[in-house]
Amino acid sequence: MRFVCILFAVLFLVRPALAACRLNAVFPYSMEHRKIEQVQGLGTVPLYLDLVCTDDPEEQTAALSVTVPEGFELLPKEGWRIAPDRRRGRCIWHMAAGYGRAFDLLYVRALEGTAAGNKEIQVHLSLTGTGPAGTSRTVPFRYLPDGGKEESGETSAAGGASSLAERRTAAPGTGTRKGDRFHWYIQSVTLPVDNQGNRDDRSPEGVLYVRDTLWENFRNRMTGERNNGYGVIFSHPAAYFLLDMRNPQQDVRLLRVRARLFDKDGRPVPGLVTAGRSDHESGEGWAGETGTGEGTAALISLDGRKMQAFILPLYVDPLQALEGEYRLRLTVEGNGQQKGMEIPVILDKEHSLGLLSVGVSFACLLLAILYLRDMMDCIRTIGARGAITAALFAAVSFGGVTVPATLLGDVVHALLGPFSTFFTGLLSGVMQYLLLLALLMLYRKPGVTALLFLLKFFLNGIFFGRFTPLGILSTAVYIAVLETVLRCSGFYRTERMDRGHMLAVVILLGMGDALIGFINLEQMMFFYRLYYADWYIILYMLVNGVLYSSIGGWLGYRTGEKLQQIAGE
Amino acid sequence: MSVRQLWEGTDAKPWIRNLNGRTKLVFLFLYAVLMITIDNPRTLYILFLFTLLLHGLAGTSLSKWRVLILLILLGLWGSMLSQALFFARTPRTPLLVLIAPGTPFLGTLTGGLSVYREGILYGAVQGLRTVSMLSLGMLVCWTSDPRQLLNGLLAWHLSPQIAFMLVTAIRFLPVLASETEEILIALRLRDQKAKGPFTGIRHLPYVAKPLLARCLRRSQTLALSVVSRGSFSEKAARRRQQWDGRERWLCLLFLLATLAVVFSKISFLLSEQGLYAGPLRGFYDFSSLYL
Repeated sequence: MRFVCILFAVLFLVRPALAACRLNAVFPYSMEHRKIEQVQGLGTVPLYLDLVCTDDPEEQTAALSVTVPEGFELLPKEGWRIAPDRRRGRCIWHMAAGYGRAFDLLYVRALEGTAAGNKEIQVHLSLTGTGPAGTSRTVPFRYLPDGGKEESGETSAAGGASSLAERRTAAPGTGTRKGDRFHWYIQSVTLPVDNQGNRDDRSPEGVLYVRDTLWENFRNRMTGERNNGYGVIFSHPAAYFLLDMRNPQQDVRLLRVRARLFDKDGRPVPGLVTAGRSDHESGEGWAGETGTGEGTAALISLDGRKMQAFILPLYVDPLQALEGEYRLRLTVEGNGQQKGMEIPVILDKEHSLGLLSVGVSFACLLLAILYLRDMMDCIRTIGARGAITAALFAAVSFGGVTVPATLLGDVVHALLGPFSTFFTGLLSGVMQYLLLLALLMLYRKPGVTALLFLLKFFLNGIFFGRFTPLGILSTAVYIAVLETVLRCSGFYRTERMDRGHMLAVVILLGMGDALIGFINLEQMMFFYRLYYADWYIILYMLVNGVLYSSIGGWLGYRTGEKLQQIAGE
Repeated sequence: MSVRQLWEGTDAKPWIRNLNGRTKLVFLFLYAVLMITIDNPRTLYILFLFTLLLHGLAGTSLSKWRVLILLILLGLWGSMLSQALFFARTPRTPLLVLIAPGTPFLGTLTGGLSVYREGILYGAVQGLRTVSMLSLGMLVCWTSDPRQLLNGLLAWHLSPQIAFMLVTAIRFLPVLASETEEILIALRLRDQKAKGPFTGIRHLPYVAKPLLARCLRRSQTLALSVVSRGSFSEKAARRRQQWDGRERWLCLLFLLATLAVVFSKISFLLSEQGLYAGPLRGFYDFSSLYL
């Protein structure tokens, strides 16, 4: 025990002596970690500085100073104090106790007229604390002035791109600075391309397709989330764009790219989002600040080549993005320079649900045609009495549902707008299903539902001239869905229906009506190019579909029971 | 003008009254196809005006014009109102904020609800589709006897049983209406507290049961009569009205024109997706300018 205590005491005492700081400086630094031996021309090249301090029991303050050789200058950088002659820079880093690490890129540029030869950058580190007092590094490199001279004409050709180029006059030194020089600029932007950067001529230029996310939107709104599942959004960008950069000075540097949408009046609009940080807890890979900024941001790395293309994803938030024509403003910025370019884009929402609904309607039409064969058998089975009863019920349905909904519906629609359906739904939901279930209680046969809706369609066509493709499809959806629900629920098979079973059937019919409402509303939006909010569609399905139809169905069941007694008299 | 008078097609000019039911049905259907194919506001407006012109040529009476204009205005207003609320394109300028996006629950649920200026105009243009069909439907309705359209359907091999049921439904519509009135009077008389103009609305939920009971009893009587006469059989005679050759040609021409429009539109949409064919350039131009 004593030995252990002594060991700990010794370790405590020698710990400051064990503390060490390791300074790493690389110049010219390559973002791709390529080994570069020399610096060419007037390009901006980063000096990479990395400081790691270990085993120091206290926080340390590291003062780092960099001195570049004559003919070179340091570019301004946040957190650094650059001397007026621009050859010396100084910064303070605070290193955490135990283990601390800090790193940065400092950009160095040669001045015009600098002679070729071997050069050195001096880096000095002084530390306060219990550890070592400081250290120095010398970073040698070779300079060749040739590169970039031939590009002077090209750089001036970057017209159209906005610039915040440095406007500086000549400063003391062996060389001179050339003001108003573009070091890099955007040559062109191609949108959309695939993730390999290839342009597909079949896809229209400048069009971004936004996913149809009705269900996700509603779910997320109900759960209070701001947006759709980010995992899906960031796994499937709306499009990629190809950013073709020119870098005549052969700069090596990190640049920030930002893409934002602007309307025709030049106001920024939401729609594009940026991927934030990822974590393991959210499970989807995206969390934190994701999606809070307006626009998609990314970092690109110029690697010193004169021409470089970047394939960047554009993430669109389907909840915020609206269809329309915009201007996509791309801004590339870094170290005081900013270049921009605007291209026209069209945001087009994929009406996949509308198309799907139309497809389902046509499938329903085929199914309804199949059910119509059962309907003819049904007419033979129920005989003249059943057929006349069905005809009279259809007449009641037409007179009690269709006529008032047509005549008063317009008035109510004018007063309440889209919300009128919740009022007229009392007729088309409650009354309609009351009649249907009452008739089905009298004649529980496959085909009776089809018969009622077909007669109603013909009456509607004859009296209101509504022999339209939409009318045919809508009737087909009613017949197909309701007949299928009734068959699947065992309504036709069961000899005697108890109340529990009947309740299940009417709830299923209500859900079926919600589906019918959804399909019909979606195909109406598709054919008549109308807009309805997703929450309205869901509300319509819940109120008009599930609620009204289930109530109507139950009332119809009770009425049907009474009518059975009358029929038996 | 009573509701019954409103739906009678007796005061129309003979040329349109005597048109075959099939001609009217074909015209109505193809016009509906055109309405869902065309997007150009100017063409939609011209097609809408054409339906009004047909009303003028058919000699629609002044009282019916009033009803038609009222229905068109209500239809257009409804479309404008709904699209003003739900317009989801840019640019859009909110004129009135009904629910602010930050409102607890409702704001979160709806993402905000505003009346957008551009939506009003968009709704007016898109509403032209529905009001054109409304206008044309009214024209067919006001210029045709239900039997005329029924004969048209029969000529297209509508099942005689279905036709019989349709005739039964049509015949008994006025009877059912008067029975509903009787039931409402009876309910009102039984109700001691009945006062005010809206008392009838309170009784509406109680109308269904006695009305359906009467339907059931009537169907028993009718069925006996029908079966004894042998009217409800497969061999029931089909009366076919002759379809005039000129009307037939007119329908064929209209069908071809509609098919051309649909083809032109689809090929144009496909060309936008990259399925471009040089020889169809004329169709693309036509679609781009007029459809």
